[in-house]
Parts: sequence; C-alpha cells; structure tokens
Amino acid sequence: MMTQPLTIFEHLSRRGFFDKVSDGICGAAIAYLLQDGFRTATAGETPHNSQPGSSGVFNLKPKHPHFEPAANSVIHLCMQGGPSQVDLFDPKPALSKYHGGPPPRELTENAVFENDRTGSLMRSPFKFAKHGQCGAWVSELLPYIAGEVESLAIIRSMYNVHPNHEPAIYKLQSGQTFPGHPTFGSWISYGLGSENQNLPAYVVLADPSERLPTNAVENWMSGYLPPLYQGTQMRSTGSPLLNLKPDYEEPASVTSIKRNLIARLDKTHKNRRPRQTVLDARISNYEMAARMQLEATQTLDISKETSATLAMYGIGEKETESFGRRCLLARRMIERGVRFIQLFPKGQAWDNHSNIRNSLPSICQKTDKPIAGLLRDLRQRGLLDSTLVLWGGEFGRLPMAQVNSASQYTKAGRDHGPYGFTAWMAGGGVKGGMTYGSTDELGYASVENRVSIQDWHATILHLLGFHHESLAFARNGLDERLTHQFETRVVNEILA
Amino acid sequence: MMLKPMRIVASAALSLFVIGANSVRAEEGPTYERDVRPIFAAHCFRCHGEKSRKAELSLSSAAGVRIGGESGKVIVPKKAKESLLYKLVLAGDMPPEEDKRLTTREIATITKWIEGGARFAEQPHDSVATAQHEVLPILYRRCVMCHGPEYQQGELDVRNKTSLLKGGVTGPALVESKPNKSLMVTRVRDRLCPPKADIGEAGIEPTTPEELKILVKWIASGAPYKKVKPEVGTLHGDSLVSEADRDFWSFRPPVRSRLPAVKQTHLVRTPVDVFLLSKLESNGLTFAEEANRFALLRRAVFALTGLPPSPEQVSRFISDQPPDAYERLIDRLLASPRYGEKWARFWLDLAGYADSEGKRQADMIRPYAYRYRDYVIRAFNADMGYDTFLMEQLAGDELVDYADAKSRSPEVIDKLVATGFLRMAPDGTSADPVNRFSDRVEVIADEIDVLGRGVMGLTLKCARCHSHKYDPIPQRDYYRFVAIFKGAYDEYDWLTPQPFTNQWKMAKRRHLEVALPDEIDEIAVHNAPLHEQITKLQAKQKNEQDKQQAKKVGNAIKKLKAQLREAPRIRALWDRGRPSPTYVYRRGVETQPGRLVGPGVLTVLTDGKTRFVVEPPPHASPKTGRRLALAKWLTQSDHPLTARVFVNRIWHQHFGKGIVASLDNFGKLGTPPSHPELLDWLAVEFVQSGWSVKDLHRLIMTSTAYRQRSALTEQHEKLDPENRLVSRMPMRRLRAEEVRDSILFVSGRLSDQPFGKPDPVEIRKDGLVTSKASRGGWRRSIYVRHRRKEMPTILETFDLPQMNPNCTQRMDSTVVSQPLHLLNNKMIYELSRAFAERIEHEVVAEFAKTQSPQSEFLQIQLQDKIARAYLLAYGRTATDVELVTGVLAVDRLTRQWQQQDMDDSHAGQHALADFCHVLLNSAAFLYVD
Repeated sequence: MMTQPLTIFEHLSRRGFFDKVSDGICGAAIAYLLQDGFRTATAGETPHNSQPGSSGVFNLKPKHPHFEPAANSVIHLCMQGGPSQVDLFDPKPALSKYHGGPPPRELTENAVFENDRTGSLMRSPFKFAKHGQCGAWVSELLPYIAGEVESLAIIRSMYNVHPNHEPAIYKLQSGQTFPGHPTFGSWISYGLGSENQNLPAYVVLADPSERLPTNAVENWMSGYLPPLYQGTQMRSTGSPLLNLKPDYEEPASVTSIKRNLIARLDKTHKNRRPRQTVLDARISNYEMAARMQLEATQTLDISKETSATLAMYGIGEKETESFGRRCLLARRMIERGVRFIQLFPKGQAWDNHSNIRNSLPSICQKTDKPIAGLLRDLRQRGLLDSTLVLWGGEFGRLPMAQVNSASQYTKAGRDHGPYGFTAWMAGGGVKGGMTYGSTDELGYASVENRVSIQDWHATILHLLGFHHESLAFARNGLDERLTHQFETRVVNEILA
Repeated sequence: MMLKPMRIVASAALSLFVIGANSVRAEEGPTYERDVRPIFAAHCFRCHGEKSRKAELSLSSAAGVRIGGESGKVIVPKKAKESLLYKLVLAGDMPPEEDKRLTTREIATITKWIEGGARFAEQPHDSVATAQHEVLPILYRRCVMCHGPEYQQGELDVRNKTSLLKGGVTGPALVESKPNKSLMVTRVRDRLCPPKADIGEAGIEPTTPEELKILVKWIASGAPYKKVKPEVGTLHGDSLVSEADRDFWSFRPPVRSRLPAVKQTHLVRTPVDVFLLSKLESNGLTFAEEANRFALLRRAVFALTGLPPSPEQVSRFISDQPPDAYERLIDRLLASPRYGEKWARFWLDLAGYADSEGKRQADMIRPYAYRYRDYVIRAFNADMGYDTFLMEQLAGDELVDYADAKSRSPEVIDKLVATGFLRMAPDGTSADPVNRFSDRVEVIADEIDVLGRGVMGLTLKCARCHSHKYDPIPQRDYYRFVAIFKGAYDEYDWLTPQPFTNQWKMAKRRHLEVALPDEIDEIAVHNAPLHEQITKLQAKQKNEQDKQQAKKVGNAIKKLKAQLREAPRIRALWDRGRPSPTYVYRRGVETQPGRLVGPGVLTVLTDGKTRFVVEPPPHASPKTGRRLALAKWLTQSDHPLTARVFVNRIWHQHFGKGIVASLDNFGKLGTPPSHPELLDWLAVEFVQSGWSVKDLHRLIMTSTAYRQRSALTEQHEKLDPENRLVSRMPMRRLRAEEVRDSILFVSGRLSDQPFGKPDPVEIRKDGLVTSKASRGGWRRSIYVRHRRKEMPTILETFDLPQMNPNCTQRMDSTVVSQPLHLLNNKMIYELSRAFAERIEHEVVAEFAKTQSPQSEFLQIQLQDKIARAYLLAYGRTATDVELVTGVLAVDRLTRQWQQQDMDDSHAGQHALADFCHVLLNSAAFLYVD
C-alpha cells in the first residue's frame, strides 16, 4: 500500500504563512517570546509530600524529623582503610609488656578468620599524651585534632562485623555487608530533604586525582530509595558536577535563547494542561538546573576566602592542600544548606599493612590540620552547634604486627581489625570532651559499652531528630530502615 | 495496667526460686516430664502442641522444647532470665489470653526447672532430635562439599549414619560412644579437616568449636539415629491455616461475573468499559472525551513499541479511514518486532535481569545472561501463552530430556535458556572474598522473593524468618517452598556462577554446556585449522632461541587463540536429582535448623488435604520433578493468583495504576481491588484466550477508557483525584529507555539490530557512563550491557532502577541531573545535530517533489523544516504559532552564529540543530498525554 503524502504540506498554505507574519497577526506574541528574559515563567508549587515513606511523589523539600533535632546537617569524614586505634586514640601500655609475643587465645575468640588470631603483638611506635581539660589521649600524630578534643566524643568501643574492606564499608554506609541498600546519607536526605534546592542535598567530595574510592559509587547510592536521594559527587577542581556545564562549545547568547525557548514551549504546554502539577515541577526543575550551574560554581570558588582561613585548613601547603580544600568546601556547603557532605581521603591511605612508622604519619599529616581547621572554622561561624561531624573508618587495626619476615620487623604494619576500633563525633548535640567505651587491654576487641555500626547509625539519626525504628520506607511488604532488623541502641551517653 | 501486677509476680517468682534453691537439692529438682509438661499442657498446648505448633514451637515433647520455635531456642538451661519462654511468660505476653496466665507457683516451678539445668527424664528421645536437627545439618554445612554427592574424598560420604560408620580409606568416621576414636571428631579437632590449604579458599568454613561439641555429645551418647520423614504440609492440612483464611478474596479462584448495567451504552466499546463506566456513573462521573488522533497515536505507539511514532506511522494512521483505523493501528504495532523489545523490558524488570552478578564490588559479568533476554523478547513477539512462558521459565529443564545429544533441538535449548529466569538474582557466591553458606541461602531467598511477589503477588519472603504476620503463611510453608527448588538450588551442594580467584579448586560452575550438534560441528570445523596452526607455532616457539623471535611467535599464538570459538553456554537452572534435606531455619538463620520438611505449595492455596504431587520425569538424567509440579500447579486455569496478578500488572503498565494498587501484594496488607469484578473478568478472559498477552493488550487498548484524554478537570480533582475510577488517562513521563531510544530514533541514529551480546559501555574519568555505538548507530537500551555498577548515566538519571533483586514498579523522579544531562551532555548535543541533518535531508527531498518557485526556497524550506522537526519529535503537525515561533527562533539563532564569523549556510544548520536540541529538552517530547 502506498503511503499518502504528508498532510503538513497542505496544512498551511505558504502564502498564508507569510501573510500572517507580515500583517502581524502573531506579531505581539512573537515579539514577546523572542525577547530576552522571558524565562521568568513562574512555576507553581511542586507537589509536596512531607511524609517520608508514604507512596507518591518524592522531593527534596525540607521536612520535619520526628522530634526537635540537635543537628541539622552532617559532615562525614570517611576514613576508609581502617585507622589504627592503638596508634591514634587508644593507647595500650600492655602492648609494650607483651611486645613480640602472641595474643592470648581468649582475647581473640570473636575472630572471623584464623589469621586474625596469630602473629606477634607490636607496641605503638608513637607517643601518646593527654590533651585538654578532659584529658583525652591522642597520639603525637594528630597534634591539631588533639587541640580540639574539648569538642570530641571519642568512641573507643566501635566494632564492625567483617574484616574485609568492601563488606565492612557497605556495612558502615548502609548497615548491610553487601551493596543494594541505601547509604545513611541517602536515608538522611530522604528524611530531611534539603535546605538548598540549588545544590544537591547529599554531596560527595572524593580525591580529584583518582576516579573513585573503594566500593566506588556504592558509597553513596540510594539503593531502593528513589535516586533523588543518592549522593552527588562534586569535584573540588574543574567542573564540579557531571554535566554541570556544556561539554561542547556554544556562544552564551545561543544558550540563553535556547533556554528561553524551552521555558516558553513548556509554559505553553503546561497552560494547555491545567492542574498537571508534574509539569510545574518539571519547569522549576529546569530553572533549578540554571541556578545550580551558577551556585555550584560559586560554592567552589574559594578565591574570596581570607588567607587566615585558608591557612587554618592548610591550603597552600603541599601535604594538606588537597584534603584541606575539600574540608573548606564542606564548610561552604554547610553554609549554603547542603544536608549531608561526605569526604574521602585519597585511596586507602589508612590501610597501613606495612611500614606503619611512615605510612600512618603521612596520612595523619594530610588530614590532621584540615580537619582541625574545619572544626575551628565551623565553631567560629557558629555552625558547629548545628552540624554533626563524624570521623572514622570501616574498622580499625589489629594490635599485632604484620610482617613478611622477622628481619623486617621495623617495617611492620598492622592488619584489619574489625573487633574493636575508634571513631569520633563532634558538633550538634554531641557531648564534647569525652571518651566513651573501651577495648580490652591489648586493643584487640571492644569490650565495654560496645557500639555496633547500627548503634552508631541510630545515634546519628537520633541527633538529627529521628527514631531509627520509624524512619522507614515501604518495600516488598516490609518497612525497610537503616538499622534493619538488628538489635540497636542509641548511645545516649555521648549526647550533650 | 497489665504490666504492673506482672512485675510483682516476677519478683515474687525470683524470690520463691531463691528459697527453693536453698531448700531443694539439685538432683531432686523438677524435670520436664513430671513437673513442667503438665503446666504447659494446661496453658500452652492449644497453640504450641504437636498439632498446631504455632510459631513452629511445640512444647508437648522434650524434643520440641529443646529445638525451640521460629524465634530460636526458648530455653537456656541454668539461665532463666535469658530464656525466651521465661521472659514472655513473666511479661504476661504469653499466654495471650488473660484467664490462661500462669500462677505465681507455676512460674516458680518453671524458673526452678530452668535454673536447675532444664532436665529431661527422656534422654534418648531427646538425642534422636539432636541427631536429626543438630548433627546432620552440621555435617551438611561443613563436610558435604568434599564428602557428599559430588565428591567422596577419601571415599567418605557423611550424609547418613551407615556411611559414617563405614567411613573412608583411613577408617570409620564414627565409632559409637567413642568421640575420641571417631575420625569425624579427631580430624576436625586436629585441624586436619578441612585441609589447611583449602581454608583460605572461598566456600570452605571449618567446623566451629560449638558445633564440634554437639558432634562429640551425640557420639558420646551412642550416636542415636532414627530416620525422620520430612513433613509435607498438604497431607493433613495445617492447623495454622483455616477455612476462613482460604475465603480471602484473592485466595479464591476468579469468577467471571455478569456485566453491570450502564446508562451511557454508547460509550461502551469493550466489556472493560462496562465495568469502569458503571462505577464512574455511580460516582457522578463519566469517561473523558476521546483524545485527539495525534495524541492517541503517540500514546499507543509508545505503549507498544517504546518509541515515538515515525512520520510514516503518522501519515498512515491519519490517512486511514474510520471506523477501524485505530484497531488496525494496534494490530500493526503488536506485529512489530519493536513490541517484543518494549515488553520484554517489563518482564526483565520483574525477573531482575542483569548482565552481572552484583552483591560484590567486583560485580562480575554474566557472559551468557543475554540469551535469556533474547528468549523473553522472542516470547513476547511470538505471543507465547503466559502459561507456557511460566512453565518454561520455572521448569524448562524438567520439560525436556536434553542429556541425550540426539534429541537436542533449538526448542530444547530455548527451554533451558528460559530457566535463566531463576538465575537473575544477585549472586555473591562467586566473588572474593566469600562464598559463604549464608550467601548461598540469600540467592535462594531472592529467587523465591521474585517468584513470590512477581508471579504470585505474595510477600512470601516475610515467612522466611517467622510465620507471616498478616497472611496465613506459616514458616513451614516457606521452607516447603524452598524444598521445591532443592533439586537445583541446594545450599549444601552448591554450584558457583563464575570462576574467580581464590575459588575452591573443586568448585563447579553453574552453567550448562548444551549446544546443538550442528553448532558443535560448525565450531569444530572452524577451530580445527586454528588448533593445527597453534600446535605448530607452539612447537616452533619451544625451539626458538632468539627471544625477540619467540615473543613474535607468542603473539601470533595469542592472535590465533582469540579466533577460537566456543559453543555458547547457558545460564540455566537445572535439577540434579539429588536434593539435600530441607530444614525450617529458625529466625531464618541457617545455623539454627529446625524441623525437616518436604516440597509443597502454600497451604492456603490448596484445600489443605490434596497432596502436592511430584513425579520425577522419565529422563535420562535424574530429576526430582519438583519445579515441574510447581509450574503445573501455578498455571492451572483456575489458580487464584497467577492470572489475576499478571493482568493487573499489564493494566498497571497502561493506566499507571493497578486495579490492585499493591502490584506485589494481593495479601491482607495489600490494597483491595478498585474494580474486583473487572479484575476477575480480565483474569478469566485472559486464561480463556489461551493466556494471550497480545489479546489482553488489544482488549485494554481498544476500550473507550484507554482512548480518553489525559486532561485533568476540576471535577476530576474533586471526585476522582487519584484516578482510581479511571476517569481519564494519566499523563506520564517517558521511561529511562524510552528517553534514550527516542532521542536516538528521531535523530536517525537508532540501530534496529536485534539480539545477541550486549553492547559494552565506556566510563569517562568523571564517572559518565555511555554505551558504545556500533556500525549502524546505537542499539536500543535493552541491548546495552546491564552491569549493575555501571549503567549508562542517561538511563540512571531517568530512574532506571537497581535490580535488587528486581523491580516491579518504576519510580519517576524529577531531579536536576535530568535537565543538566539533556542540556549539557555532548552526546545529546551531537544527536540534535544529527536530528537537524536528518531534517535537512528529508525536507530537501520533499521539496524536490513540489514545483515551487526557487525564490521561495529558503524561507519555505525553513518553515517546512520546523514542521518536520515537530512531526519527528512530537508525532504531530505544528500549529501556525509554533511554525512562526520556530522560524523566528531559528532566524534569531542563525544571526547569533553569524556573529561568530560563521557563513550563512553553516549558521543556519547550527541554528536548526539548536532548535532540535530545544525540542529534545521540551516537556512535549518527554511526556505522553
């Protein structure tokens, strides 16, 4: 069968077309729509659903938690790799006594792998001292953080359930040891929305010189929560966001005409479809894209920061430049109402399997001053009271030496130790100047006031105003939550 | 109110115990049989007797008390305060009826009994329970991999007492009453078994000291052993499932009811309309008027092919004559090969299709998963009956006798490929660092979840750890269901999906190497000369002295090896005819086995008395026939759920809402159907049409309801705000795949090359993931590699879900990364250039056909180009104002480019491309009315 010629060629007589243009039937409308600045088309209200967990429309508008929160934003200093507690925050004099000997069997009963029970104990090569009025122990490797102990709640009794990085990091981020569940940043964005609609609610700042940290994007995925709540990676140099700027060349005037035209077409489309709120949401979404281009760029522009501020973060010094910049950006984002910011150091710098005498001081040096600078800067600006700062890795390290041969003892490191490790919190709602919980006499396993990953999650949610049992998302007939089915308690003792 | 007096009771009980402990000597303390059982009999047996066993707990025998229930052990000897039974009784939670509560004296007796070590008089009986529920599972868990069905290392098989007594080459594994002489104890104790070298390898987990204690205790007590018959629930019915439970609407077979009366009979086109209209009328509403022809066309074309209408489709439909033009359109679309590509995605979402294993960061590639994807596309295109489709996917391996090479045909291969349905769940058992027992159990649980929610509309998963809280599904029903899969998915006798580093050397892979004889011959013919050359070169390489030269030869060998072909393997699930026993796992924990159960389907969906008939098919290779029996049961024409759940899903795809809104849950916690008679009518009609999915589409899409406008009126907002009554069609955004495919389609860059290996992706340094183009352009999104951790950014941005394990309802988000991608991404920008080139080309060709004066060429052409752009992007003609706007906008853009020192013709091309870019970003392109 022959296809008929297209009707559009008959649809409009060409002569008629020019007549219309020239006699100005459409004149006024056209003059209006082709002038600059008609993208002021105001959008209606986006459909709002303030009840997390109920089905329907999801958005990032600010939402109220279950009760009055102590903090309303979070900076997670994600120290992937496993910082060695016995060399940083948890001094163990007994290690000197038993140095070179095997760990007692009864201390290592919880070990998952037999390898975790063998080897020789090793005393810390680093000196510890008490700091501040509270007298918290911090090793010589963290002199700047040691100056901030009055703000810290140091938890020495953390433990994780797996001795390998990937499962342990999944656990830390999402409460399960495998991918697929929302990370706690996603839960928080889901529960609280964002104070700033021009920036992502959940920002990730990883080292710009490498592609991704261990577990890659799974560190900030939203799992079964809508993708709206997943973390957005912003780069601290170059274009901060994927597709934030055109990756092709185009004159600004062309861009502006195009944007205006889209807005115009959409407005007409919407006007012919009254009450379709999703179209309003779409229009404001395009407007937000334009604003975000501007604001994201501004957020990353640190040229107006004072030299004193830059110095506080160690920006301008070779070792601290990279992490310092990310810490400063975190503060700038907090100021702009970003809900959750996650910072990663480069690679697995805390994974000190060998030569801990050199490798641990190196990563400490890179992060110590920037982190202390961040705490001080937040405090100076009155932001620390409402910002929760979290420091810690997926686990710590074993008190034993990891060596290839006896002769290399001076080049020893330590292997992964999930049974007991140290993390700290600071800021909104956290009782500063305290040390909580303890490990056994060798620092192998957490023994007193043990804090599981889900306890840690529940405490964070509590500080943000949530009952961890009730921040839920209905899926497949279950109410999913960050703390899953695990027995969980909020660590009330560290709350201010 | 209730707790307070109970607290008093608690302290009273404890103080009584203290007195008791002082005055009674330990050996004279209470025993279960004499003192405790009568208390249980009076207060607890009604629910926790041998017959009901609520929460899997029977307190009527020593064995039952020892094993505990769904929540694990109920008694911790010597530790009353840690014993669940004590806690619940003390808190007044048990028994639930107030008048049945225990007296203070009775609680004191129980306390004394537990603190005294929870003694039983009947030790032997107790030990049989130990053998069946504690000892054997340990051996299965820790030893069967090397000493079981697959391997009998040292000629030892640990799966029953006889073979343990017989032992292996080094002697008997078991010597009754002598644990220290039993090799099964000493070898473990001396850390000889498992061999040290194997411990580091994934999948091997040594016996724990606690487990060893149980083995020792059992042997010391003489290794009592009694064969226990697995429980098959449907034999006598299950006391936890009542007739009232069976009376729930979705558990009764669907019945075709009579059509209700309607006033506006002229609006009725199909019976679907009658049901909907009747309800609309009784709510003071009626159908919305019919959508205009362009809108209807665009809606139908997207619905059935996932692509926008082509200019040819537009012209054909618009020029076709009523009354049946629309029906003819639906027929044409259903016959298009693009139909299968669109609707396969619907099913692949449900199955949880992915080209990678997931669960671990390695996210290993599944090289042959695509064959299942192709099977699904072909099945939809061929309109395979849904009953056959299910049957093949659930039990294809038991339908055909593939072991015999001569009987192999493409149909046989297809049926094996179909079982890939049950191989789509994330599988963490083939990735470092672990292939632990619990990882295997997860794979099975995920598949049952997919089948339960996806096909049966039931949250079966909830009964994995405890009896279902809302639906009448006892925990034992869940494990009977697990037993159905045991012939193929056996956590004790496991196959890993992929080879990987650090794998246990003897692990076997879960794929079938079944190919057609012709295929094998063809590959042999292809490979023979290559092998010959390789052998020659290898000899040459051996004798070559010159290093440089040897390297060259080595490279040549590599090249030849790359040319070798191998028969494609099948990612299948197949029964191996040797299922391990299935235990109820208390609290869902695999180290806490309870009762032994056999295969069975849900009690509530049977009369409770008819046995679940399992007949091994008479095949050359042994099969249990369990999944075949399941498939037959599921596809019975009067199955209460199968057809209902499916037609509801198809309905949801078209109307954006299911008749039962909770697509995955037809149970008590699901939403009741908005139109129960319509749902049943569709289900019955569907089965009677031979389960034809295309007929179902036709039935729905030719209705008046489907042809309604999507406009939202004040009346709608007032009377039917959520569109539960279907008073209009919903407006919708394009799905992730539709966004990508449509942009490629209108730009003329979409390749229609179907099937085969998925297209790889590229990952830019900043994380942008894009699929690679092949010669004919980019293929449809369904053919792009679906590796869980690296999905193309554009698809993820537009809400492509994670398959985890599956997705039965896509979500729509409106996020800023969407406009950022469509505006700023280079590929979209370049595709809008291609779009413009296509327009130029087609309009010039059209213009050549007309005889207009050359003088008008330039302006006229631009107007026609705008018209063409609208036709391609929106599937409709442009209005006058749109044409004027377009012409002036392009004109204005042209001037901008001219200011960049660009010549007129290039500036014009750029400007048109800019206009196309705008259209691809517009709401009219991304939303369907």
